[in-house]
Amino acid sequence: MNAAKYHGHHVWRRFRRQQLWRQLKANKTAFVSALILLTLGLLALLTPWISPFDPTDMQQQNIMDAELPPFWQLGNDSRFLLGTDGLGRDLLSSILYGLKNSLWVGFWAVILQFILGTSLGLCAGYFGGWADRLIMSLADFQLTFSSLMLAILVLAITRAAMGAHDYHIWSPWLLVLVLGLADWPQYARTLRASVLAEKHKDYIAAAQVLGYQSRHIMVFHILPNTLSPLLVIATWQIAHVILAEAALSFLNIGMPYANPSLGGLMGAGFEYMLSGVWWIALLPGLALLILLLSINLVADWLRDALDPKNLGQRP
Amino acid sequence: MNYLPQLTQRLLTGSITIMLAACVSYWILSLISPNHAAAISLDQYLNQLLHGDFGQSQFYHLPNLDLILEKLPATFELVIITSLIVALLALPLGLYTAIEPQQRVARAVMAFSLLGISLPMFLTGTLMVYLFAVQLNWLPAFGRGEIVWLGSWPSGLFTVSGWQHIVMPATAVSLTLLPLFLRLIRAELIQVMHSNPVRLAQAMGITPWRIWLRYGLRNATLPMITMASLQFGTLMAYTMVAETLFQWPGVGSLFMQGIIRGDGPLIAAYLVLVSIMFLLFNSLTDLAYGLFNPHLAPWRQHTPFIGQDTP
Repeated sequence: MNAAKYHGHHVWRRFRRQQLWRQLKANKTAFVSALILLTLGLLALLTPWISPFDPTDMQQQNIMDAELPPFWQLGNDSRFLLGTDGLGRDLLSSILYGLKNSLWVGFWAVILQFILGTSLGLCAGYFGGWADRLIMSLADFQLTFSSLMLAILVLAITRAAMGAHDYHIWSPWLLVLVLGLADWPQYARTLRASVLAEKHKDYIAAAQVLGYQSRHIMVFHILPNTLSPLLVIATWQIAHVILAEAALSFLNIGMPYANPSLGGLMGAGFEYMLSGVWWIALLPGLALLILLLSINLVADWLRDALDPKNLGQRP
Repeated sequence: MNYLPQLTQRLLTGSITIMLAACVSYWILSLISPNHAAAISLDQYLNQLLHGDFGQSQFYHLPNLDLILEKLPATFELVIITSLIVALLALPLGLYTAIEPQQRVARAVMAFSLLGISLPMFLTGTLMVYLFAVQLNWLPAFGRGEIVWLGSWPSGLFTVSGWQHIVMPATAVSLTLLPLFLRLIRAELIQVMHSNPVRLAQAMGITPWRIWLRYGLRNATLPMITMASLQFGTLMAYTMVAETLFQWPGVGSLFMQGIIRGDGPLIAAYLVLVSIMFLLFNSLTDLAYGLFNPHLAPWRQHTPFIGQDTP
């Protein structure tokens, strides 16, 4: 029984047995959203090569091209497929670069969260005692603040202290740092609970008897068996971080205006919308919506697919 | 009568927290406006705060407390209306989707809630402004509208124009929080509906409505209070975004203006007030816990709550 559960929890083993792949093919919604997500990821990776213009390059901007509509509206320009923004930047290129930036922040912030939350959760669960109490009360304390509110306060104050110009030189790294540090308790709590359930099992006792060090047991014995819920949380968190980063950019404390994310593009486009020029704000918004929806759908599917309750099911 | 130690402990931790927040706010003041911080020592600063003097804004040359209190009613009304919309929609919809999960409307509601989680608030807001303000010209795009003075409280809830102005910001913020509560209530109810007490009640022939309300919703109140206390900060954050988006004259937009102008004293005062607000709200949720679950009542002797810590 234990052995079966052990193998079942093991994500990589399940990948090797191709169960996940089979489950993905069976679920149409998940399959399509995974496909969209993969496409968006590829687009983001290849952005510098496939984008028609470079929106960070001032040389390629011409104010005479400002506010041109997308191709299906009258008065469009064939050079700019999705129209241009208020500065005459090609909107398609801006969206591609924005996609790249949003995913960049989401990816690195989640990596940071994952490392932080996982190591703290492992220590809390494995050692117990005062380490457990300290880490868990820290997590509770952190949870009473919302991560978004914390990020707004910290970044806004940093901006006021550094000045807008200096702030925007550092803002991508600050975003990763703040969003990465703000949301670790979820991982730690989940992992702690599964470590408590795992650590009295025979294979851990065996490893201890064999004389492995605590760190080795935690990382190579416990972690692989408790990985699946963490992967689900991490996938969800990518969407959450991208959403938070978009809100921050909208408040002008996110990615710099010269190299905006999708949220920053929307924020910059909002003022044009009141005069009826809708595409500058809404097209990046649509891209953001598709990105977040596909991440959330994939995460939902991953949760169901990795749930040990559905272990025996073969679609 | 053993609520006194609890109360003193709470007061003590509360004052330490506010003390710490005040020290942090002084440090931030010295970062943003060094000349203001140089003019006043930490002792003096804390002493002034203790006497209710939150300093003067660098930009407005007015007392910070007056500035913030002047904007507070607008934010408060926005938060109240938003919470009302969330509560009034999440309860019936959660109940409905839990009872009839397979019905077409219930499925549509759940799909919509997934969309709502993925939809950034300012995208809904932007769409709404484009549709209702720019295209249809039904609702105003910014501001708070006409206000009525209730004593010293400027309220926008007693004029037609006030309601026209609050509809869009409140809807935009509540649409982001609604899916969270809807899903929570639904998950709780589905779990409760399969529990033994409910089966017994069904077997005894108690009417379904009574079961849903008495056994179902009552069991969902505690997780809802937890969720509400955890989402309070998120609500504040999104209110800030909404205030920026709809130019709502509230505390959040005052803070963002202070940031852009580098108004150190105002930012410091805002931080202290926000930490007091967080503390008050946390005490309120603890009280609510006590009302709905006698086990956790702060005025009772603390009894370990079974199932809380056991894995």
